[in-house]
Amino acid sequence: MTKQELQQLFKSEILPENDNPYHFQEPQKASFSIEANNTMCGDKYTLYFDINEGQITSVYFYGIGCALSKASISIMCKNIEDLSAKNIMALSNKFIDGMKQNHSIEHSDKKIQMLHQLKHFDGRVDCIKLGWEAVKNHFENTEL
Amino acid sequence: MDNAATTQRAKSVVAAQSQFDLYENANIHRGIYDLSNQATQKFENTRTKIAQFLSSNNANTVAFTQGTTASINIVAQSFLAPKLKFGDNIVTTIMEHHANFIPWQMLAQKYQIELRIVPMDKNGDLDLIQLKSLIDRKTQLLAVSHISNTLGTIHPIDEIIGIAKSSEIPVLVDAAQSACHFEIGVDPLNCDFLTFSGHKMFGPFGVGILQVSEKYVEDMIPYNFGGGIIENVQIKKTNFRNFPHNLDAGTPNVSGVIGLAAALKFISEIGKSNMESHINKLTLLALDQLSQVSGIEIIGNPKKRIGIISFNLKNIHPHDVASFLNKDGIALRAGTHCTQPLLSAMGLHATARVSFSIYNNEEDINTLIVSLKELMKFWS
Repeated sequence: MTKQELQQLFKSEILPENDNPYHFQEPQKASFSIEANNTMCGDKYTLYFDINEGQITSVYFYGIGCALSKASISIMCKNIEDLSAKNIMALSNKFIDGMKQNHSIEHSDKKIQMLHQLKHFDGRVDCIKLGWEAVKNHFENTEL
Repeated sequence: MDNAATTQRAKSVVAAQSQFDLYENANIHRGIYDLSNQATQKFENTRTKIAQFLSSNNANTVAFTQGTTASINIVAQSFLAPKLKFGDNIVTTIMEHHANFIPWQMLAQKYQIELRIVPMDKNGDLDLIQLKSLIDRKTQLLAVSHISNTLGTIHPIDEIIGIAKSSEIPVLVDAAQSACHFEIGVDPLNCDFLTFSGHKMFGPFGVGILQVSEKYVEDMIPYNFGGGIIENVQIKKTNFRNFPHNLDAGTPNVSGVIGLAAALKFISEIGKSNMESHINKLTLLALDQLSQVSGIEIIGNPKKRIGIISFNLKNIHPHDVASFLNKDGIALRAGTHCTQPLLSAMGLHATARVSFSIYNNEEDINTLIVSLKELMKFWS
C-alpha cells in the first residue's frame, strides 16, 4: 500500500467510522459484556450485548484503541445486531478466515469487504481482527 | 528509529559470524581435533574480551546467555529462588521492562514473598526516598534498569546501588539500554548482577551476557541440566562445574558469541563516549524539534534522559502514527514497550517511541518532524 493509498483509505473509510463509531458508549444496562484487549499495543474495549429470547438485540462498545480497531469493531457491531449467537459465530468465523492471506471471501456488506481488503496491511491485521476474535472466542465457549 | 528494540548489525559482526559458520564451525569443549579446539579458543577468548569490556580481569564472572531476559531469569532461578523464605521481599521498580519485572513477580507468587515496587514521579524519575523505605533486612534483591526503555530516563544508578549496598542487599542492573554507550560492569557499578543483550549493541540475536560479582559466583547453581555443565555423572549423583560453566547446559550459541565479540570491537573502535555524545546530541535536538509539533505530548521529563523518547499525538493512536510514518520510511515503535506497569502508572495505554543509535543523524530527525506535522494536518 502506498502512502497515497493509505491516506485515501483512512480519509474515505477508516476516519469517518473512527470519528462516528456505531453505538460507541457504555449502555446503562447490558445482558453481558466481552473484553477485547490487545496487550501488545494497549487497545482495550468492552463490548456490551443485550439479548431477548436468544437473539442479540443491541451491541454497544466502548474503550481505547487505534482507528483501525475502533472502525472494525464499529462495523462489526452494526452487522451482528439482531443475529442469533449461531449466526454471529458464523459471521465472525467467516471474517477471521477471510483475513488469512490466501483466503478470498465475499461479503455482502461493503464495509466488511473493505476491511478484508486490508489483510495485506502489514502489522495491522491484529487491530482489524481484535473485536471479531473476542466475539468469536466468546460465542464458541458460551451459550446465550 | 527503533534502536531500543534492536540495533542494526555491524558488517564486521556479520562477517565474523559468516567466517565461523562457513569455515570454522565445530562444537566447543568436546572435540580433540583442531577445528573444535579453535572454536573453543575463540569462544573462551570472547569471555575474556567481554570481561575486559566490563572492566574486569576475571573472565569467570561472565556467562553467555540467550539475552537479557534469559540472564534475569537465570538470576531468579539459579541465585534467588533457593534462598527465598517466608517473610522475604524483592524490590524492583515501576519503570522496569517486563523482563525485569515478571520473573520477580513469579518468584513472589510461588514463594509467597512480597514484591515491592519503587514508584516514580510524573516526570519519569524514580522516587529514591521510597526506595530507601522499601529496602529492609528481609530484602533479598534489588532489580533495577540502568536506562528506561520507554522514557529514556537515565537512573542515578550509583545512588540507587549505594542505597541497597548500605544494607548489603545484592543488586541486579538491567543494562540492556546502556551497554552500548555507558561504562558498565559489576565492578565499576559496584552491583552484583549485570545483564545485557547482543542485539541491542550491533551484535546478533540470541546471545547475551550475565555478569556476576565475585561475591556471588559460588551461589550460582545450575538451573537447567544436561551435558556441558558437569564434572562427572554417576547413576546416583552428578557433580557440576563452577560458574560460569555450570549454566549453559547443551551446546551454546557459539556463532552468536563470536558475533558478539565483533560487536564489542566495533563499539570499542568508535568509542563509547563518542556514541554517548552523538546520541545525546540527537536526543536534545529531537526533544527540541518534537516540542514544536502541534498536538504532541512528550511523555515524561526526567532529570537525565538519553536516546529514547516516547510521545503521543492528540487524537491519533500510536499504531496509526507508526503506520503513517512507515510510509515515509520511518521505523518507530508503538505500543506498551513491554512496560505496562509504567504506562498504567502514567495513565497511558500506549505511546509512540523513537530511539536513536550512532547511524541516525539530524536529517532523520528533520524527516521525523516533517512527517509528524504532515500527519497532524492530515488527521485534522
